Amino acid sequence: MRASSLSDERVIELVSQYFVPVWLSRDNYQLGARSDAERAEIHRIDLDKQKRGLKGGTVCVYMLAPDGAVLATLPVHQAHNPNNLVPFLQQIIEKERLQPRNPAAVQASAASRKAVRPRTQGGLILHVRTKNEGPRASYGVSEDWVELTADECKLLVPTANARAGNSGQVPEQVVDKLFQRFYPPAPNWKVVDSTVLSRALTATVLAASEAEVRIGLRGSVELSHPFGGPDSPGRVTANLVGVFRYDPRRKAVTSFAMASEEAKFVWQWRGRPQPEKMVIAVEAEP
Amino acid sequence: MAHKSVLLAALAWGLSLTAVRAQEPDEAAIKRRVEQVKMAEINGWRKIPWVSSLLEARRLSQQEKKPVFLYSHEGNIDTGRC
Repeated sequence: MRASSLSDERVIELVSQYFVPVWLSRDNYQLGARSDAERAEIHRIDLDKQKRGLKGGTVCVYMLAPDGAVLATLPVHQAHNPNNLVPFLQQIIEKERLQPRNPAAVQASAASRKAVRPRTQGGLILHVRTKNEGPRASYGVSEDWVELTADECKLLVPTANARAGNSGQVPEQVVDKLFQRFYPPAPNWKVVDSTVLSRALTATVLAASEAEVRIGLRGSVELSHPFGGPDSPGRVTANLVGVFRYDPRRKAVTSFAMASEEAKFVWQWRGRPQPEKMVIAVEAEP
Repeated sequence: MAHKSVLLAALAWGLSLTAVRAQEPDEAAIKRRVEQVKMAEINGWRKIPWVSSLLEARRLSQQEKKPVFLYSHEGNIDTGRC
């Protein structure tokens, strides 16, 4: 939906002008705990839809009247096509005789994207992005955030008195936190289904002064992640290269960038391998 | 003899530094790659003025007397993990 109908200019215009738009993650994935009030409202909407004999499951467009009644639904298999969603919206605009919303109210109510901040003192947020580079490039970019604690950041640095040429392996506990997210956008988005099968990440001091230590990273990962369900197992293999800067006085990572040099996701469908190129990119949140 | 050892140690240190430089990752190229991935994000849907929550949408809907467009899904549309 995000790459198809919700990015269609006609849909964007109609939804933005005539309706109060909101998205709802049924499983609240990557989000905080859901309030009891919201849970009750979702339950009420589902019951009302059922009572009115309307179609659609959890992945669906719901149109709610100002009093909360479910006016109409359009299941995802239809709504993903803008040529279905546009007339569906136009019909509601005509039937309800809707006038556009006040542009000032629209602007005031739009939510801005919240920055992800560390929850621990001295923690570092690493922003992971992955993307398919083959036929599924249209899936767009997937994002995850990983927090390294101040102690874990220290483990990235090979030695306490770092000198150019010093190198060491980054401990598994730190590497796996990050590498577990290195799967591409896919119908199975759940990190709990990812397993790091093998990993290596070598940190080498490139330059060191009292003010800054610059460290190079080279590594590789093999990760198990199903494309969809258990009938489509998949495996990511990637070589990685990165550089980060560490302030030894503040004991803090001041910049971090890592990308895959070669990465592929091979998943199985009815016993046949489906190889796809992908890319992984990581940076520190400012 | 001592002079020779110092010379060899210095040579080894120099070779080690040269080796480090030879395998030094290209920081600028890595950052460019990260930027390329960021730029590839599908952003069209973000033009829609989504409100922050279902309850807020219901409140505004009542206040403005406009229907709610609710896109219900699994995963997280905001991060592409869906």
